[in-house]
Amino acid sequence: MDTLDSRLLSTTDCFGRRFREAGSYTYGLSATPQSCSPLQQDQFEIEVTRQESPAGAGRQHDVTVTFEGGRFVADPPQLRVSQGDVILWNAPEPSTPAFAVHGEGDRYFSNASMSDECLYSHAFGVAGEYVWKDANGGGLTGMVIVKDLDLSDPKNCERWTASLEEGSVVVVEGDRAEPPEVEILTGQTVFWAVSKASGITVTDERLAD
Amino acid sequence: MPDITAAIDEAGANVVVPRAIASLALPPQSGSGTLGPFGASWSATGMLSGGMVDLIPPPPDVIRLTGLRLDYKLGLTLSVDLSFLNFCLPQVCVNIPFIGRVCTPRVCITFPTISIPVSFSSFVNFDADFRLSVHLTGSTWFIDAMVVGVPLLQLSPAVAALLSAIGLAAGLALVGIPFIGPLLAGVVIAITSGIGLAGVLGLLGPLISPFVSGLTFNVAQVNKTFEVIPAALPDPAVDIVIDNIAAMLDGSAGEDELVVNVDISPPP
Repeated sequence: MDTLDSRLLSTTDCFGRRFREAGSYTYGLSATPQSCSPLQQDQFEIEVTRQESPAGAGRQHDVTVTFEGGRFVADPPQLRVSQGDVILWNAPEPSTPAFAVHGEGDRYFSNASMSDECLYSHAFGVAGEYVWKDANGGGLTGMVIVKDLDLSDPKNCERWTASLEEGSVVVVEGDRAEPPEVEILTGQTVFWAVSKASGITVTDERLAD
Repeated sequence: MPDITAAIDEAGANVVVPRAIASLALPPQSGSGTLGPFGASWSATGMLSGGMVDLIPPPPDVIRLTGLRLDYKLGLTLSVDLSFLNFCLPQVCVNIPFIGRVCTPRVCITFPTISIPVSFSSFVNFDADFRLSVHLTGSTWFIDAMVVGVPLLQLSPAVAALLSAIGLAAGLALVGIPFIGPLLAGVVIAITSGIGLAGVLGLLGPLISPFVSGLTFNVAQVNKTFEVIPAALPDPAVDIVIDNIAAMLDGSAGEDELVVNVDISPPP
């Protein structure tokens, strides 16, 4: 069973956000999609400096999430980036519980409620048809068809190995996803690039209801 | 001269013996160890039926049963460490118009150790020779038939079927594991090849053979103190004590028979 749900990120998921506005951001990491967990979370910081990158030219900064002593830890815990840069969160260790990123204060951002200029990626591990929707009640929906190749044919083996480096992009704007349907091979990654939306998720419809 | 002589011929034995065989409760077998490169635990139950009786007086002095059927059910759980499949997804980069070029980190996939339950049923036909054994246990005389040697079980047809069942069960157990899909067929082959026909035979032989080695069935039993009912009134029923029973196969009367000679005495 492959879990497609942008609300909680596991090893095969990434959440990214472009930071357009300069200033200080704080965020926490939690094991639930809600940010109002009664459990005390560690806070991590992002300092975005004025140095406007042209649209589409920001640098990428990776934040590694681990779980140590019963708490989520972001590495690096403090990050200094330039306006227009992208920060990408991922947990490389399979033992790390699924987590959510929650920006705090006025500058709220979260993978559990994606709005402007953010992205969610998922590498699909199990073949099947994944109808996805916005678990936060929006009308957004789409489908990912994941197929296995018969690797007994050596040519298919080469094709599959090469395909793992190729990603598919679904652009989300409002309640529209383009393309609405994507067909990939097992192991390939789909990126949902959220241009503008009002707090959406990308969630397998079987998990959304 | 014995006090009482009773006998049954082959027609009678073909009623008594198959009934005795079918009522046998074979003790279940279980164990654990390795099956090829994998850990395994297993259990098996068996049931006997059928058999045509041939009474063969000395020599060789055996009750020969041909076409006995042993039905058995095997429960096998394989423990397969899939870490040999571990691999890393490469970094994936895409261009997103309003964000720019974004790359995922390299993600390494580690596969778990899984349990593969296998259920398998089959049967084997075999022939066996039995020799009579009479003993007094407690206050009961038993006339048993004990198997001679270890009957040969032709398990080869079941071996291939069991290996096939393992492959099928492995496929079912693996199918939902993320990232294994494209590798599934190869992994099933790796598992079945790792075990091999020899591995299955090495499991099946020691597991199924105990059902028939040492096999003993009861032909008749009688209390040492026995009530004799008169053929006609007015004689009352009386108790007698069975002092000795001798059971043998005899063909001297022109027909092969199972003969029981009984010595009795009045109760003390």
